[in-house]
Amino acid sequence: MMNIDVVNVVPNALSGETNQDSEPSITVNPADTDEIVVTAFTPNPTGGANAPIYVSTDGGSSWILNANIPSQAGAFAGTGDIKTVFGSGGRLFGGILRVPGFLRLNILRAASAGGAGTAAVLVDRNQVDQPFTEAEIVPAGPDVGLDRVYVGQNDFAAAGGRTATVEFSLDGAAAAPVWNQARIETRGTGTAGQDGPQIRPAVHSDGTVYAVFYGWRTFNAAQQVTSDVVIVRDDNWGQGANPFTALTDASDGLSGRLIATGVTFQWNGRLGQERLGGDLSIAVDPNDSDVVYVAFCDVQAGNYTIHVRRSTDRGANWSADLRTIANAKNPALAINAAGKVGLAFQQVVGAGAAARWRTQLETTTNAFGAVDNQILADTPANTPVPAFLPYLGDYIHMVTAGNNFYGVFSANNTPDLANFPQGVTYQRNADFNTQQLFANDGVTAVNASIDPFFFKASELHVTRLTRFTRLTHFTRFTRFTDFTRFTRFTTLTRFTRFTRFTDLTRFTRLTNLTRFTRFTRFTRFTRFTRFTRFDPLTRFDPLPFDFRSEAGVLTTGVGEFVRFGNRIFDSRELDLGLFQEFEGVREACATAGVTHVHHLAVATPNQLAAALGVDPLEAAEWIAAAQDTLRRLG
Amino acid sequence: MPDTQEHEPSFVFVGQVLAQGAATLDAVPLNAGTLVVGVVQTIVSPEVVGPLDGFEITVQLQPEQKAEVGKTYLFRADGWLFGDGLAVVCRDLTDPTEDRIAATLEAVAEEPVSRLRERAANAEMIVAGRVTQVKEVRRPRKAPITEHDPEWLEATIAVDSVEGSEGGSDSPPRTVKIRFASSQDADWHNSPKFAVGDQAVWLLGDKQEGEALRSLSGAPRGQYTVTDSADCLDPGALGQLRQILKEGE
Repeated sequence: MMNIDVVNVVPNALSGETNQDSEPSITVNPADTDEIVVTAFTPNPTGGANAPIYVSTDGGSSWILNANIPSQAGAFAGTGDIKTVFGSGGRLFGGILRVPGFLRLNILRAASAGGAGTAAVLVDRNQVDQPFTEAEIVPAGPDVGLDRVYVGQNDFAAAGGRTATVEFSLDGAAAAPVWNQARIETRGTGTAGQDGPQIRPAVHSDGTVYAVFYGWRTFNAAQQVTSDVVIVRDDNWGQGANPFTALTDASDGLSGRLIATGVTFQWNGRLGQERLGGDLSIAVDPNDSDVVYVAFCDVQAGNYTIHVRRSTDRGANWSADLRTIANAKNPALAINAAGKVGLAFQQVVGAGAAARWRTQLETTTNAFGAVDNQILADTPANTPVPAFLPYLGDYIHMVTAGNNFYGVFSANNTPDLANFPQGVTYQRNADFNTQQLFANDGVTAVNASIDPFFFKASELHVTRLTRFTRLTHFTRFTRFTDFTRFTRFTTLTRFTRFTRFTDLTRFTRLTNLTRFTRFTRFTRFTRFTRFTRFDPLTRFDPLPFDFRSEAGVLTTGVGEFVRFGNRIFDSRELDLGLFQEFEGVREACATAGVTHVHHLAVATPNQLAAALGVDPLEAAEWIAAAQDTLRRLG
Repeated sequence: MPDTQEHEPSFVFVGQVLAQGAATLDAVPLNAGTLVVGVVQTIVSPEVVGPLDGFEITVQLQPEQKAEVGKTYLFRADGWLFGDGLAVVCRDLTDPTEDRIAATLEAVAEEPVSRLRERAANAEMIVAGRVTQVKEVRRPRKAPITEHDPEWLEATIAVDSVEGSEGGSDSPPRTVKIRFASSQDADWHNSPKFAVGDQAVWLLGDKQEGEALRSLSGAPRGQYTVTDSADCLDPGALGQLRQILKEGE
């Protein structure tokens, strides 16, 4: 079970925007997971010369737009393709298709995501498609701390139509990084004359680097593609004379293991107003670089279909399909620190006017033997009309940090809670009752468009033993669940307007420093200590429950209170008749005026024995039992 | 990061400095040049942002600029950060005299005309006419297969008039052929599309970048490539264009 939060990242100051903010990607600063960057086809709101990125510094709760990507004044979509990734020290690397230009690759580096300054251009050349940037910081050894940066790309300048390429730097933070190009296609591309545009690297901190791509084999006049799905691997960051050649396929002995062969799809096909042309995602287990998952798409029985496969031996052997999803695209795989695999994707359900884009997150701990499926968004597939393609994006994206999954997708932004089953937070002006967006003035209606939505899926690991300290900060994302009922809060615990208390928080234990106000509700389970402070305005209400005695008499309101340890009881709760263990002594005790557990617990053996005419040792056992009962209750 | 100064500032407003070393956005790093400004009068603001009157925004001064708390200035600024609030970077700030405000308004109104004047001066040819034919362009044999393919089409324009210096030619062309991107890809969506029957005024070629534009679409010499919507004007703009061209003679 995951706790999922969804946030529309369009800032409040841009409430009037109606851009088609499609094709999103995300990166999380490994040194500060509160710092997150989202990119999309978002233009500069002022038509300025830099393209913007979305930046959050509070874990995704709020977002700003910072224009720091080199572009061109008035550019319609800011940049062409864009994918950024954090390196060390908050550095941001990016691969973009630069505006102005056509298939003009820029590899960029910014000192920070949110600061002033245009990102530096490290590489600038033409004839490249769909740069996809990943990075890892060397964790140990002589190169510790260096940024390894990998840009998967379809480089049309490659000889022989073998265009799949990984361009990489072993020290991306250097003043003038050296860039190496690894041509990772070793087979002929036939009538296609090139590979597919998706070349996706995945980097592990132990130096293992995978890359997966569509090795196109034919492309006919009807734009039907036949392709292999190929994976390559390097075991030492790409260093060495023949990088990315660690995997070969037994069928031909060539570098590049074939995960699937002869897959077909229609280039520039359509699904729910979106174009199709191949989808790839790859994720390596952060705890075990032997384990790698790949998702790809092809057409099965006329339906564009996601396939998920896995290798547990460093890509040498591959499973059959672990998961297939029809009428779906944009698979985004990630694996968290606990080994849980996440698959986000977008699927068209329904048909015609009823068609919906359903964005989903599936997680699994047993290779998709069982999945936890959560719908993140369920939005109309027919509205708004596309301003351009891609409608939602040629990809969405998801990463992990620790046990958390961080992702982003684009979808229709109509403020309708029914469209967001996990709930959603908008920064832009939105009325969820009337399902209407509003401009900055809060009055002018704004049409629905496509927005990027950030999501965070967290493991629920709060148990009855979890203790929050006075430094614990609860944010708008904090949810209290059934399991938090034993949570202890301190004076410095911060509760925000977003904190949700559930029915089960009535079991919360309050400490000596807890302050109560007139609004605090006390239940029979509330525990008070000698240090408990009450506000002068604190109101004590009658017990919020009725009490029915053994004789069936119903009484309400305040009764005698008994405190044992840190627990306060209504005395009626301690009637001996309510406890099965005292069934045999209740009548005898009553003859001596001992009717409640706390009476029995404070009796002395000799007095009780004398009053009841029993052996003092037996009386002592009864008293001990009563004391045990109180301790248990307390 | 603020926009470059190659174009007019995206924000022009009169505002009172309410605080110094403070900001309306948490993300703004504070220094002595960081101001909270209450906007009194919006003169220029991007459509998506709308009028700022009555709002408090953050203005970041340049290192050499100074401002006093409580004083009102005419700010010319560029967009920087957009979040719960707005932060802009100041280009310049002056006393908001009526003359300055009037001059600013005039400059703002004049900017589209200035742009058109500049573009017309760089055009290789300006023609008014209508599209009579649109056909596919044979795809170059080694053209990459990419989702960003411009999908070039060739339009034939029946020329009604040739404007500017070319208009006095003894043998003005009867037709002109242009190439345009028909693709709906994000890279090309904003590039103008043409259909048979469309009437327009086209500003064709570029005296500086004409060859680059031609090679982009593979257009042969004598043909043009049109990728900027500003190069295709509504026929109703012809009068204004002629006036501009006349002024430039």
